[in-house]
Formats: sequence, structure tokens, C-alpha cells
Amino acid sequence: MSLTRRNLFRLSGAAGLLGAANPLSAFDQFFRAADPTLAASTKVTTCCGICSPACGLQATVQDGVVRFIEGLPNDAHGEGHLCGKGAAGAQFLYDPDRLKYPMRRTNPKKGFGEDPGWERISWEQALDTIAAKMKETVDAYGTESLLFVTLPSPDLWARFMNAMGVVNRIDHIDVCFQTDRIVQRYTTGGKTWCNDFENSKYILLFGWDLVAKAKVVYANGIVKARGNGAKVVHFSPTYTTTSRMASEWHNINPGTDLAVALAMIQVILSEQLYNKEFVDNFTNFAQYESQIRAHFAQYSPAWAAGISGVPAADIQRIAREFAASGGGIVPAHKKTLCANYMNATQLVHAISILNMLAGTIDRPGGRYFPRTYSVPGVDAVYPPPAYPPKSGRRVDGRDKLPLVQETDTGLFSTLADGMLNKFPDMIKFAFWNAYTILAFPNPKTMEQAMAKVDFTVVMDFIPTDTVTMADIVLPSAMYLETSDVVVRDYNAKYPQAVARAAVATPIFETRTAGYVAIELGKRLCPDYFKTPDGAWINPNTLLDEKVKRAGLGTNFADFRAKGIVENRAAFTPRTSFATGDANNKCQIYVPQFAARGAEALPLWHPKREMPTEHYPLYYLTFIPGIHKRNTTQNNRILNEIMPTNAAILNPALAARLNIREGQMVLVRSRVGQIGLPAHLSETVRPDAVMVAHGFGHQSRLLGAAGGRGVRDGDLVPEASIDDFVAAGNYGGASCIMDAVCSVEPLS
Amino acid sequence: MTTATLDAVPLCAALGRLLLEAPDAATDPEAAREYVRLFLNPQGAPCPPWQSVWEEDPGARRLLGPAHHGALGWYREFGFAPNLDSEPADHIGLLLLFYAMLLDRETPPAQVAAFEKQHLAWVPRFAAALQQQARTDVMREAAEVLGELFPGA
Ligand code: SF4
Repeated sequence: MSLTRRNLFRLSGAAGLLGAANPLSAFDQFFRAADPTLAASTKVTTCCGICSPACGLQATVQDGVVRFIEGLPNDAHGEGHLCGKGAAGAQFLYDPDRLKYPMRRTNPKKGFGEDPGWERISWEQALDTIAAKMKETVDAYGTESLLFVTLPSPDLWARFMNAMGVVNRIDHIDVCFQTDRIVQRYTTGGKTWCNDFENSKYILLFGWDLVAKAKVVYANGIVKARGNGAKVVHFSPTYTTTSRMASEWHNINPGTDLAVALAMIQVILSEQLYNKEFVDNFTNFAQYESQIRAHFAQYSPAWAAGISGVPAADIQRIAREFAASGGGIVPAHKKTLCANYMNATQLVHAISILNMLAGTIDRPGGRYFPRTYSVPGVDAVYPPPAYPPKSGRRVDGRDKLPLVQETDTGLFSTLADGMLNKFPDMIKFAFWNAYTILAFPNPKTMEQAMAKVDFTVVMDFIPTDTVTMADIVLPSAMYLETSDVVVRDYNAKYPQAVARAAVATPIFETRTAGYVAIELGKRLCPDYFKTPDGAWINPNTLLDEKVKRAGLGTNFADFRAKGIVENRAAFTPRTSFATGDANNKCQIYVPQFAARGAEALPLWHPKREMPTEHYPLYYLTFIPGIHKRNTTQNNRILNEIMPTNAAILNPALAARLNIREGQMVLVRSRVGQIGLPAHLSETVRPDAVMVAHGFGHQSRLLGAAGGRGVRDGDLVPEASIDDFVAAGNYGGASCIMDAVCSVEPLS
Repeated sequence: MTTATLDAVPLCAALGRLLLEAPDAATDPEAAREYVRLFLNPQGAPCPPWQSVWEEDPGARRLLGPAHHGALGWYREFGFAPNLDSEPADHIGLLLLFYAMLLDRETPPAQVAAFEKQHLAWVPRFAAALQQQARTDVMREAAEVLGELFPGA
């Protein structure tokens, strides 16, 4: 060791320790005396929080650190298993790039190339600044100038937004299950996630790669169904894991599932194959029979074959088999090739009708409604003063689609157009909670829209691209660090509730959205955050109260000790369906749709983008099975399995264009271009290019995912609300897969 | 790796504290920003100060990995625990302070060598990264001293 005097002097000046009487005073400052016995590791029951089935899990915990997680045996949702994402949960928790402290930008210039000059601040400083900025904004421009890009949960967070009269709240549900939520509400009485695959006789899947890309509970259900002898038919323009598991796979033209579904309805109706008992007693078929029959008569199998490429004889045969099986089911889901084209609302309506004709709504083998515990929200425990009316303009134009307006969500697809073109300069303050711009079609326009906002707060776990544009960053706690009551609703023939336990000691200064709600509430709308006796709402007391009122235990600690509470009551099929029908029947013909300017019965609509001379190929995107949308790519374990994306091409197409495996190619659409390596695979049609979603995070942000891969969304045109209205897209289907492209070799 | 001598005690202690304490933005904004940029940057810190993040295998890099538990074990064995509950035990500052304490107590060389092997082998790489990334004089000096103390293989 050869230290110069210069080193010693400088360091001494910096740390003030060298030459001190006791050089180890710093040791005394940072260490305390402690019991030398080793902490034992314990197994704690909790549940996964990455996606909604909340599979039961056991965490092995030592010194407040999660060392291992595994599935919880005998749990009805995971059945002792976790999917890849769930199993990699501890790696999310301990991602080195996790946001750790509140930060404030010091460089006013925003943009992906700019260094924001982050400065660490206390939570007090952060909350005071945010509250002051919100107040100043509302006073000057009204509540319509606030944009909250967030789910309306937890309930305390929703209460805060309601108390502030936030009118522009947007979440990703439109790129997810919004169309199905709207349709199920009026056709069967409410959105349900429960599919009784295990007892199904015939499972028709449009697009959805449910075995690889979904939930453990569904994949297990399909495997059991096959084991029980059920027939599974898969319509999909790509050959997926589900296709491999299926009894039959049909390589359908992209975005034409609706044509096949309409023709199947026509066959079942014209040949009187439907379940008469269910249809006559529990649907409004009799009341609208002539309109229904006349409507579907136009959709013959031959017509559908011309559009979809599926032979008419197959459509007819499958319709007959499905109806005759006595236990058919057609699930519907979300970003899975079928549900995100311009015609997705009509498709989920047709799917709902097929389920009604099969007579399996809330019956064995069909889609059924979850039997759940009723857990009161904060507004039931501590009734708030009346909320202010939500007044002001909707930046996404949602109010032009009455059925979407009723759902109280927002439209990702039209947000950028609203911020840049329809209502430029309206949004002055934005709060982003755990969403990244990769979730938007054509994210470039979203970047431009974000840059125009005066003040942006981003709360997240990791530094997503959105963080780059923030004025204040808040570090978020994760599901393994927080407590909650979780009611199951995916495999719920009887009520089940599971205690989400804070198994890990929170690290650094991460906090929950509930905490932020209360603290901002104290500063901005205090009357909404007090209990009847005038004290501030305490989240722990609130949790105890919820547990008690739901009958799950005496308090949260008691419930947590039980882990899972179940009531194995017998399943009694519903005979009354809250659809809005005067007789509480399921609705094939939906008069409420007609009353709101939409279609009472599903009409054929083509997808938005069809191949052209310049863009002769279908552009298909998918979410790989090991990832959750665009939020898990920085997980080091998942990243190792799939670090980047490629342009997946059929070898015949590649040969025609002289493209080799691994060669860089340029894929172009009318809104952008991406350069990425080619991967040749027979699983994709020769008239399509397929690219995985979730990659292309900007380079400097994330240690593992930053700069890897490209954004699939760069080729997907964003939409305006006028496009949706003109196309009859009354459910606001987001079109995040509706694009066409060209491909050419690079160099 | 250093030839452990008592001379290293004040330097390790000084470096430990310097790397653990975030400067106050009100009194020294430049130093505060430098600290955030190097160690806590929400846009990907170039010098994360935790041993678990410097695992050789990129797939194993995380916070609170085995190195955290290993460090806790060492602290415990000597009857100590870190004061900051929310800071991982394998923070370079804590490891350096503990190392200074081991040297100061004239702990048997074999034990010191075992600690060096388990918890300080990554320090040369960290020092090199810090040397490359530091923009303020103080951090540049700290990196230089650290590099001299832990010159690597
Ligand atoms: S399916 Fe996977 S991600 Fe979803 S709750 Fe279950 S384990 Fe978690």
C-alpha cells in the first residue's frame, strides 16, 4: 500500500475521520451490539401478487429476507405450483435497480437523452411538493388538468382520487379485458374469470395461448380437461403451446375469428342445436327470436370460410360437435391475438352468445360466477363525505363511447391523441403509478405527450422508461412487502380468501400507494381521511376491520395465522342474471347496446389494418409466457431465459426475401420501423411477422432489460376516438395488435 | 487484496463512512447529486454499493443475496448488527467499517483473510468502476485510495 499525503489529506477533509482520536467512531455510529445467535428461517404462507389469481405461495424467510418461494400445496388456485413469473418473485423484490428513495429532478430539461440530475429527498419533502403542485394546478386549471395513469386500487388510493374529483384516470384495461367486461355485463350479468375447464366437454379457443400464456389455474384446467376426454379446438394464426395441446388447430387468418364465431352461431341456430332448456328459460331468445334468427342467417359457413381461411365444412362440423357435446365453453381473454383488433367487442359478444347457446353459463363445464367472501372497502368501513362531482373534459375522449364511459376506466389507445391533438395543453399534472409507455400503441407519441406535461410524478418499483420523464420519483413497495385481504375469483366454486402477508422487511424507503393516498389526503382533502372519531385513517386498523366484517378472523393477525379461509359450500347454479333484462335473463339480443348507439347483435366488422402493396404482411405481437406485459423483463432470472426479442418469420417467407436465421431485418409499418434479428420458425404463417411484446426498454434505465430488444408497439398505429366511433368500436377495443408491415433484410 | 496492517484502519473507516453517508443536498448539492448518480440513480446506478449486485454470474445479481446473509453472519459472530435496518448488510461501507474493526482488534490473520475472501474480493472491481465514473474530486480520491488499498489480484 502506498498512499500519498495528497490522498490522506483529501480523504481526511471529506470524511473528517483521519487523525481523529478514535478512527472507529464511524463503526460505533453504524453498528450496535447484537445477539450472536443465528436467525432461524421460517416458512410463511402468502400469495403471489404478480397477476390476479393470486396463487398461494410459501416464502422461506430469514432475517426478514425472502430466500426462496414455492407453491402452496392444496391451494385451489396454484394447486401447489407457481408459474415462471411467480417463482421468480424474490428476484423482483431484490432487483438491484429497484427504486429506493424519493428523488427530485434538478435538470428541468426532459427527454430520454437527458440526465435528470436526481437529488434524493425525504418522503415529507416529496409529498409536500406533490401536494402543493396539485393544489396549484387545480386552482389554476381545474381538476380536468390532472391525469392519473393508475389502477383504481388499493381502495385508499381510489378514495384519494375520488376526493380530489379526478376525472382523467386511465388504466390499461382497454388493452386487456375491457370489451369482455362490457359485453358480459349486459349479456350474462357480469365479468367473470371462472372457467370450469375441468368439467368441460368441448373447449373452443379463439387465439388465446392459454396453456403457455395465462395463469397456472387455466393451464391446469386445460390439462385436466384433456385428461377427462374433452375436445379442445384452437383457432390461431400462430402455432402455440395451446395449439400443441389441442385436439385440433386451425390456422385462421389474423383478426377473422369473429367471422367463424358468427357462422357457428348461424349453424347452431338454423339446425336447432342449442341447449333449449337453458336458452328458453334463462335467455331473452324467445323475446327477440325473429330478429336474432334474421340477423345470423347472413353469416353462413361458406361466407366465413372466405374470410377466415377455415374450411366451411370444419366450421359446420365444429359448431355441431360443440353444441352436441352437452358441455361446451368458449373463454374470452385479452391481449391474445383475438381480442385486440378493432372488431374485438363484436367478437366477445359472439363468444358470449356461443356460451349461452351451449347452456353452460354458471353451469358445470362452463363460465361461472365466483362464489366469494364480501370484504368491505374503505368507503364501507369509514363512509366518506359526499365526493365532489367529476367535472371536466375526458382527455381520451371516452365520453364519446357511452358503454366505455360507464366502466369508469380509460383508453390507453387514444390518450396520446387526446393530449397532443384534441386537448393540447389541458393536462398540467400527471401521476403515473406502475405503468410504462411500452404499454401504449406507438409509444413515440406517448413520449411526446408526456414531455408536454408541466409536472409529472412517477411511482414504481423499478426505473421504467416513464421515470425518465418524472419530476419526482416515488419508490413503491411490492406484494411481498405488504399486507392485504385477497379474495379469489378464478377457481371459485366456493368462497376462498387468502392473507397477503408482508413476508419481507421493506428495504430502503419503499412505500405503498395506500400510504401516499393517506399522506396526500392529509395535505389536500383531510376530511376524507379521518375516521368518525376524528383520527387519521390507519391502514392497519382498516385491515383489521375488513377481516372482522368479512368474517375471516378477529383481526388481520388472526387471519394471517390461518393463511387461507374457505367455505366449501355446495355450488348452486344461478337462475337469475343481473343483465338489466326485466326478467333477469341472459341477453343474446342486448337492447341496452342499441339504446347507446351500439349493436344489439354482433355484426361483422373487419380488423382495422389489412395487408397492402406497401405493407403486405400481417404484424402479430404476443406476450411470452414467462413475462407479464412489459414489467418483468428486468428480472434477472426471467431475463436470462429470454433476454430480447426477434422478428419471427416463416422459413418460406425468409427464403423468398433472402433472409437467414439471425440476420438483421427491418420491419416497417405506416407509423414506424424497427431493426432486429430474424428468427425462422414454422409456427408463424408465411404472410405474417411476429414480434414479442415487452422489450425495447430504453438503454440507460434498467440494468438487465435496458437497451435490449425493440418495442413492438413502435409499429402499431395509435388511434383517435373518432377512429373508434367511425369503426363501430363501441367497446373501445384497443387495436394494440391491429397492424400490417413489410420486412426486408438489412445488409 | 491488502496486506492487512493497522495503517488501513483509519482509511477503511473513513471510506466506509464516506460511502455510507449520503451528503446533505441543502449544504452540498453537488456532492448529494454525485452520490445519487453513482449509487442510487433511478436510471441505473453505475456503482451499486452492494456486494450481492457484483456476483460474477449476471443471473445471480440481486439485492440481499447470499452476501447479505454472509455479512450478517460475520457481524453476529462478533456480537454486532448494522444500525440501519433498511440498508443491506453487504453495503461496501458496512463491510469496510467492519473490516477496520477486525484489523483494529488484531483479529487472527486467518480470520481476517477469510473475511477478505468472502466479502472484499469484489472491491477492486467496484473501485475500478468508481474511478471510471466519479466526477467529483472527493469521489475520485476515494476511488483511488480504495483501489490502492484493494489492488486486486
Ligand atoms: S399465475 Fe403466476 S404470476 Fe399469476 S398469480 Fe399465479 S404464480 Fe403468480
